[in-house]
Amino acid sequence: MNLRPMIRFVALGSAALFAAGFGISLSEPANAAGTKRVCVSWRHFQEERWRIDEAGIKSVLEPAGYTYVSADAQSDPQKQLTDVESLLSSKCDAAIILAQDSKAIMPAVVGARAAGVPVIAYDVPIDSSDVTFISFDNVSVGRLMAEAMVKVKDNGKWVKIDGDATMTIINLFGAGQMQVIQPLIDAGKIKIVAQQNIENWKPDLAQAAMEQILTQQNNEVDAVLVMNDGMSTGVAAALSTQKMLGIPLSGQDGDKTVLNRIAKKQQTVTIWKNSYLLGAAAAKAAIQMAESKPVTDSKPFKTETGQIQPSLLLDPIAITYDNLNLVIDAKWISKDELCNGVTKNPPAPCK
Amino acid sequence: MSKLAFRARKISDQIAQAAGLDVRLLAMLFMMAMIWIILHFLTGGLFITPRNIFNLSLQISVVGIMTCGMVLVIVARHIDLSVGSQIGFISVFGALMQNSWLPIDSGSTWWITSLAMLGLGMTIGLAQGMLVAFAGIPSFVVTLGGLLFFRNAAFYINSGVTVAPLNQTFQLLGGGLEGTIGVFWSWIFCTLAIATLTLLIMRSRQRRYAHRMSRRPLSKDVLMISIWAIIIAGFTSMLNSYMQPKTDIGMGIPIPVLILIGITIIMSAVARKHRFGRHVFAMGGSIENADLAGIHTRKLTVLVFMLMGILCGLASIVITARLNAGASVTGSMTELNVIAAAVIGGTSLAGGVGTVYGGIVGALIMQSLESGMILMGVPTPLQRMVLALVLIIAVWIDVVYRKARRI
Repeated sequence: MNLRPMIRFVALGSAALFAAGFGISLSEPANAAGTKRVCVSWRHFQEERWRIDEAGIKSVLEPAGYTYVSADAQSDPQKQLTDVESLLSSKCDAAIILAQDSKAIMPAVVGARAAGVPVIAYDVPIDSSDVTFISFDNVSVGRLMAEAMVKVKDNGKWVKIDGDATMTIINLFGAGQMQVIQPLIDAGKIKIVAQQNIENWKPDLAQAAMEQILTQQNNEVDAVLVMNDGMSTGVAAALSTQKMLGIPLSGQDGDKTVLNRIAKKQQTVTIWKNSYLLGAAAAKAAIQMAESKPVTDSKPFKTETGQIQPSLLLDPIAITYDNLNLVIDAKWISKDELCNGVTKNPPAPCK
Repeated sequence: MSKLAFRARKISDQIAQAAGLDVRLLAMLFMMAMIWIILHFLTGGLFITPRNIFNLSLQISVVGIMTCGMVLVIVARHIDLSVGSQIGFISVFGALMQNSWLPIDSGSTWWITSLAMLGLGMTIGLAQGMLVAFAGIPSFVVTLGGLLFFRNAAFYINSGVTVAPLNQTFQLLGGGLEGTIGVFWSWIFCTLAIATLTLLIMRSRQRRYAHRMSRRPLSKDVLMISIWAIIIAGFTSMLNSYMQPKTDIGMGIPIPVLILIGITIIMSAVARKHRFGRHVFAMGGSIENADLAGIHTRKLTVLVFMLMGILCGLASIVITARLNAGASVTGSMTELNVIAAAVIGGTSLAGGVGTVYGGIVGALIMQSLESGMILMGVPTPLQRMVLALVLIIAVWIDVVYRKARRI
């Protein structure tokens, strides 16, 4: 069998893939003299969420006369290094980096400093004092979640359903939750009767875990503190089998199904990160840094290894029955999706 | 020592033969009974209660349904790593179909969606089977590709957004509050099951007589029937005595459990009695010999993967209905649970050996341990570590047993 055509085909295919995979937006207009550029290195742009961030960034850059240039690393830390190099050689005035790996990205940060380009670590920390960190405050996520729950129920038997034990971010969420709950535990008002970590944050596993916990506690559970919306969907399914839907239940992410549950009073709260605002904040900071001005409202932040960097940590928003209008106003969810199946006691946006 | 072991085995073989059971199944049921009793004490008497048996039977249904197919796949000397991703993809597809594409409250939505989900599973199985059988790509590679492809496809078709709520009738297939057949029909089911079993055993007696084979003593058949009757009636009365919350209405057998029981019986019969099943075993034993014997092994391989795909569709219906949502992470890593259940149940990864009911008992052992440990409040990482050890120990026992047999 003659293999040559096949080899050629494969070679051609990989060359095409390589070219396409390079991801640098070559279609961007050539750098017109005088226009300033903000370069963004995404870690994995395929996910829905980053389009919202991007819209936020553009909403600030374009009116200010800045050009937006981007590259997508497609989850490959190695490719991200090349991406940043290419972006830097196209003369950026500031760089926003959403790092795939907060340590492997270091050579790129060193390169940027050598080129005199200020860097923003976006959403994910980069372990260097040379960058400005802009993200949501993950401790606040836990704190706001617990506060919204305590507002409804500040005593009784609580269950804690936490995320995947191998992900360190759950420690930040947990620390925030405990800031609110620990005093109540110490005062003997709240008792955590069960706690489970859910592998991969899987809803079906959360459902099985909650079924077992309800069996163990003979349904004497007053509130369920859940770390994200996917798992809260599983917990809600377990609760509904026991006709217990409606007890205080938390989540995070602003999933559409969860917002619908909140409208039906079947869930108490979801912590919503409006990533449009995060993008806008990063773009504003990038412009300030490009013009060598200090970033307004920045606070020092200590990284894992003790490096001090300026930071801007946005507070996420706790969405409850009373402020569902926020997600409608931000066009995060349509009115139809939010109010689907809401019959009695509709919240304000569904009236 | 080995002499003693030999004698012990011989005696246990004799007892088992007398009861008309195979030793492996007996040993596994014994192991499971031990696990249940130990867990019952460790959980302070919570394990063997109607409520927990109800939970357990529901929790095992998804993995159980898939294990029935996986046993055949492994027996045929293949592997399907894509099953977890398949149910995720089919789940999002099915949820979208009833939530967005069809009128959600229409009376026919549930069965159209269910058929479509089964069809999608079958198509995936067909495609993978063709790649394995006709393109000659190893099944490990094809289904590893399938694992990556369908997990990401599940994410892609709805950008990772969870789809809910679902059609009311469809939700019944998940065995929630309304998704059981109730006390009355459960007893009917129980009676029918015992009657059918009695009939089958009596017919087999008659046939042996007609063919002038040695007849089993009547007492042994009666013993066999009564053992199964006790198990079936016990299980039914357990589920019937689990009350709906805050009422005194018994729940009865959940629909997914009925589906699992049905699939187990059908697949067991297919594997042991039907030509298709026998050919699969022959092919797993030696593909060259099977070819020489005139078995169309390629077609058979495609059929095995199609069957696996249909069962994935079915499992996906149950898991989606149970969760009342289609989420893209549904079923991730489930392929490992399914393979582990098949292997604990005595399916040999070398092919040619395995039983469907063994796989179900394997799934039951794994889920019992997992659910029991949650009842005990064991931290999650520790649960996984225990399950990993159980997997290895179970296969080790199997290896030792097989070696002893060969002497």
